[in-house]
Order: sequence, then C-alpha cells, then structure tokens
Amino acid sequence: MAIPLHSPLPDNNLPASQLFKGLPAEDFSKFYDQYAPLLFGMLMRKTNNQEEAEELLQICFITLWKHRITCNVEPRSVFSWILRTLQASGIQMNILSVKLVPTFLEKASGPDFPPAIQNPFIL
Amino acid sequence: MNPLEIYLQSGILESYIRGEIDPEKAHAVEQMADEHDSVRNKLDELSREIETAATAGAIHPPAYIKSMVMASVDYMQRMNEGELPSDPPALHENSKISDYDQWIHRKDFTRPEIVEGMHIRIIRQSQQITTAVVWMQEMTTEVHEREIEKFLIVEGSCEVAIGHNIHKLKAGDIMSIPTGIKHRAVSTSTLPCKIILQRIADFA
Repeated sequence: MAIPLHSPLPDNNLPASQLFKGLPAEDFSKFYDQYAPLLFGMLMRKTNNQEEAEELLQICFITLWKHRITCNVEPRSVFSWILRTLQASGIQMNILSVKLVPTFLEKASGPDFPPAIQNPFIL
Repeated sequence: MNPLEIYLQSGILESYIRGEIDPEKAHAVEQMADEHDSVRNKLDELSREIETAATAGAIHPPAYIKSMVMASVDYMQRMNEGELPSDPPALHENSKISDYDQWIHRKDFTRPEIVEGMHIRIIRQSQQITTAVVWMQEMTTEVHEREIEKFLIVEGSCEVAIGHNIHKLKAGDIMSIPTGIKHRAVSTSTLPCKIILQRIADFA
C-alpha cells in the first residue's frame, strides 16, 4: 500500500483535532492504517525483535487513543504530535528518536555514501 | 543575529518535533509558532522531514496487530460507556462451549460480513488475562514470549500449524500454545472459525 506523504488522514478533510475528538473508531482505524507502518518500521529497526516491536506498536496506539483529545494540531503536524505524545506518556522515546539531517549531509548524500549516511533518518 | 533567528537556530524546535521536551516547554514553542510565521514555517518543515524519513523506512505490521488494537479500543469505549466487567472462566482441558454461552450469544457480539484475518471482541482484559470472542479467517505466524494462549473452538473448524505439525480442530476442541512457540492458524470452514481465545500472562 502506498503511504501518502504529509497528507491529511485518508478520505477526510477535517482537521485531525476534529477527527479525534469526534472519536469514532472508524477514524482511528484510518489513522492506524496511515501511521502504523511508520512507527512499526522505527520500532523494528530499534528493537531488532519483531515480537517486541509488535507489542510496543500496540502500546503506542492504545496510548494515542487515550490521548486523542489532546490532538489539536493540523494534519501536517500529526506525526510530530504522535512522537510528542508517546514521549510524554513515558514510552521510551529514544526508541522513536529520529535524527534530523544536518545540512552538510544533505549535500553529501549520493551513491558513494553508505545507506546510513544517504538516509540518516533510518534508524 | 536577532532574537528570533537565535531562537530558530537554538535546536529547541528540533527537540519539540522529536518529542524530547516537557509539556510546559512544548506549550511555549506552540505559542511562539502562533505568534511568528517563521517559527510555524520551520516547524512545518521539520515535521515534513521527520515524516518523510519515517515513511521511507515504513514496514507494514502483521494484520492481527490492528485487530488487537481495535479490539482494545472497542473494549475501552464499552467500559467508558458504563458496561460492567464480566468474569469469564479460565479455559482448561474440560471446558465446554456452554461455559461461555452468555458471551457467545451476546447480541452485540456479531460477526461482520467480511472478516479480514480476525475480528475480535474482548470480554475481559486485565494484566493477567485477556479473554475474547474471535472470528478467525486466518492468523499469520505469531509467537508469544510472555503469554500462554488457549482457545476453544465454538463454531466452524480450523487448522493450527505448530512447526511442521498441523492440528485439525473442530467445535468443542481446546488447544493451548505454550510461550515461545511459533504458530499460525487458518479457518477450514465456510464461515470464519469462531473461538473463545484466552491469553494468560506467564510469569514463570
């Protein structure tokens, strides 16, 4: 399944805040479809253990459900809200920490550099 | 360099985006973003970068994880709406389908028209034990390191693969999967196999 970049939640033009506060589990299902692969990829690379990553992913989404009322961000900031919420909830956010690329690496990336340097976001 | 430029380059926006600052400081950042377009634009840029990075490394989790998450959400909603917790008995080798009649026949526990993988309705969830009614079409390979899994077939039939061994189960049959054992299952009946599922924390 292709994952849209920076798009609002699928099939819905409402701000994320309204999506969450109105609750419906159907909207949370769409939210899961969009963001679970992103979080699972990060958890898999960090834990290198599928079962642990699966368990953490469930904890992450149940935590996000419980905190959905605090989501007062625009759709383009939802992923940042996810990271901040998990961190604030005591889920070890070093698991989810992502290094923002330094400017000199943007210029340095290319076929001569190993994957970790070409894409330093990948944990 | 003016104070706003110093603020933009201080690293606090990067920390905010990564979720590394406390709620009070996060609130201050949000206020700054409300007051200054340059802060808002920088936050948007950083949000896009971090999501792009995570998207590049996305991995689809097994389907049953979503079934479990949505079942937990459904359970929390029901409890919040005032449903009283019930206490289904623990599964054992002599358990009978009729032991679970009150949950099997709950009017709001119905099978959806299409079951993709599994459809789960949780009866009771605690740190020690989770009991659920499950409609299972297919369960991809899973292993539980800290839980014993037991199930009782209520309707239909299925095959459970444990290593190279295939176990054919029908209504009334009970199976227990010890911790650390890889297993998968598929329904062999026309309709999804209906089961009572229990996961028991194994502290041994």
